[in-house]
Amino acid sequence: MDEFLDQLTKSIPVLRRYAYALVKDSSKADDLVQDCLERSLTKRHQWKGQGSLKPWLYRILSNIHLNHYRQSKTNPIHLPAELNERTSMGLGTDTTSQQLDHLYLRDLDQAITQLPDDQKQVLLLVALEGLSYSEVAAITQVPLGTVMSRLSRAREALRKSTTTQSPTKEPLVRTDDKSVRKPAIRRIK
Amino acid sequence: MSKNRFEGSELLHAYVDGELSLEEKLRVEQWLETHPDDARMVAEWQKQNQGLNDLFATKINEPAPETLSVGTDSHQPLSQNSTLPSLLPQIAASFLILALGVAGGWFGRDYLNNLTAEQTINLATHQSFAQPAMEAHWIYTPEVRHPVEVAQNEEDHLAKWLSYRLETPLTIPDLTAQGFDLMGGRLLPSGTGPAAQFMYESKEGSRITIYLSKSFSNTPAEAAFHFNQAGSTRAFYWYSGNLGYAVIGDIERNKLFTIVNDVYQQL
Repeated sequence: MDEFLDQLTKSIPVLRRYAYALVKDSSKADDLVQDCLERSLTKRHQWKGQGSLKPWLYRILSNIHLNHYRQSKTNPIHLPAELNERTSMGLGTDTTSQQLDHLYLRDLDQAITQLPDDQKQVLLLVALEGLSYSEVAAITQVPLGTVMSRLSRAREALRKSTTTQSPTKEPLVRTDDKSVRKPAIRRIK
Repeated sequence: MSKNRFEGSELLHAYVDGELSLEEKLRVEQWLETHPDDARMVAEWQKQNQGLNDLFATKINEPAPETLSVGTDSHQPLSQNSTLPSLLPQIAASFLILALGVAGGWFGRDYLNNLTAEQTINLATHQSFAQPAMEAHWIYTPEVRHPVEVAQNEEDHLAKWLSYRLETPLTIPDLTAQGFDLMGGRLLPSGTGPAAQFMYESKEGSRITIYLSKSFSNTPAEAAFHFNQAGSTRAFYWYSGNLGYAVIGDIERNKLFTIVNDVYQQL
């Protein structure tokens, strides 16, 4: 079995997720992945044949994404309808999201869209794709310190837009059983 | 890997993203116990990580459109690339096999990797912590010949070994002031990974056990003991740091509580 094609095929699901998280549009995301796969095949001689192919693929995909954005100056503002649809899709089929409430996930989803691309890439590669800081530094071709500061700014931006807007859901932030019990006591009163 | 790779808040990010060595991790956890603002920040970032994974989890599990399948389709864009035809048979063969087998395993692997500690927290509820601790007590305290795996004469080794397995520095409480001498301890399986049991015996032959396992609870340490009783066996348990502790014995509640306080002070 060809190691390169083996790893390439296995990377498709995570590449699709990363691409979707970047552009928030299924068909655009799959176009990105398609471009990435094609480019990786034509550049396969650049792959040293050692270790995981994924960081290299993330880098190709990230570059295509950034170049695409530079070419098409019209950075589309996403429609709320699309965001809502996406959020409910995620909640409907994924049992792991039970602990996080709809409103939080919706705010988070919107907050990601509003992040500058450099911050968004770093955040997604670290927090979603689980890559190490040094891998992300290699992928984005910036120093480790820059990775850290982008990550830090991205998290702060997400925190602001998921907490300050809706103080009413503050009690739901904690997910331990005590906070779940609190509303019940209020109802008895 | 110098110890000063990360500074200040960088260290907290690195903690959240699993960039730290065990030693660094423990230091951050100790820091968080006394710095609630930082602990809140860390919890917020962990929540963001989980939120991101939740939002996009469906993409991982959903089947990729056929156009993305590196080569089974004759009209797919790859075949238009003149540099590729020689690769196509290989691509097609790889894909057919992978699509059936390896890919499924790979999806599953990524899905499992996405299960963060936060999702595991809910599994480690209070009830599920006391139960295995008491069961371990019932199984091993009646043992005459093999009550412990490593005996008290190797106390240093026991502490080091179990610290290593639970990934947390453990000290073995000294309960001689309470009339209980250390017999030794053992490693046990638990729902949250390796667990440790220490066993003590009084002059009269009464045995108590201390049980420790990871709680995965990233809530700040609770200043409360929980009590549980089954038959004549009584247990107090609590959470501190990333560990859950239980002290179990077939002795009077007040007497056991005195021991618990002693253990709590020593840990």
